[in-house]
Amino acid sequence: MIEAVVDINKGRRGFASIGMEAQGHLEFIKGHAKALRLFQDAAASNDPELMLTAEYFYTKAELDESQGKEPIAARSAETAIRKFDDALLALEAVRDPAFYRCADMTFPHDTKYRCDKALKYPKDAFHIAMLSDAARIRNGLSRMGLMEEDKILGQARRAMLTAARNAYAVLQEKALNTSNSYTGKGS
Amino acid sequence: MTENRPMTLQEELEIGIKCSELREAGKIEEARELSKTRPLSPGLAEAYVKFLGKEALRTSGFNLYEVEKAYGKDWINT
Repeated sequence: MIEAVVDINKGRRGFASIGMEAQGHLEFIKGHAKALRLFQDAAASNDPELMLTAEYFYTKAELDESQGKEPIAARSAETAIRKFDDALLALEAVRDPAFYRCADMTFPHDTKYRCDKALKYPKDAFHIAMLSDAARIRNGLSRMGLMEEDKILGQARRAMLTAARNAYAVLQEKALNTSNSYTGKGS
Repeated sequence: MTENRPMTLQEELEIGIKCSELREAGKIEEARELSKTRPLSPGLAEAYVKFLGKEALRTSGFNLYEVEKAYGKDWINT
């Protein structure tokens, strides 16, 4: 992913620079192709940590490029990264069933705080980070003048974020052993 | 071991293209090593350390010029 995002960022700078447009464009396209493959492979892995890692690196590279130049984009990337840091903690917690069952008890059993119709799984930091990032990418896709490669990559990232949530829900199921799930008073 | 030095955008683009040529020729490892000669950005270095640790970054072979410029030469060793 590092190589891919470096290609994209350098490529972008290249075709904005006189005399380096062709090389920049080539790098940009190759970088996108690499990143696209990586995101698609990650999505197919069923490994939520791998998917989060891929998105983390990509977003860090976005932050690198926008810092000092595009303050709104930089703030957006910073917020995403903070949420990813929380998501990493959630991943750690879900791997400890006893701990996670206690954590689950602190989430209201209301549709707003659950991520499934059966209200089994808490909409915890992992889900929130993936949902928020998908919305951020969707908003970015509606920008005028976006390159086709950026659009394709954005769609692949969003698909991967959905796959991440689905894979994470499997971990939640395992931790909560939902056949014995909490039903709540009065339900 | 990669030299920690600055690079112009032109140099970096040329390296990127050379890496692609190496990959197309099946020289994946050579492409990967050449790619690391481009200075790693501080943000990507931070992500690398977060997931793999400072020791891994120290021994990764990446050009850490930009990282040293942002965080000082001692950052990687502490």
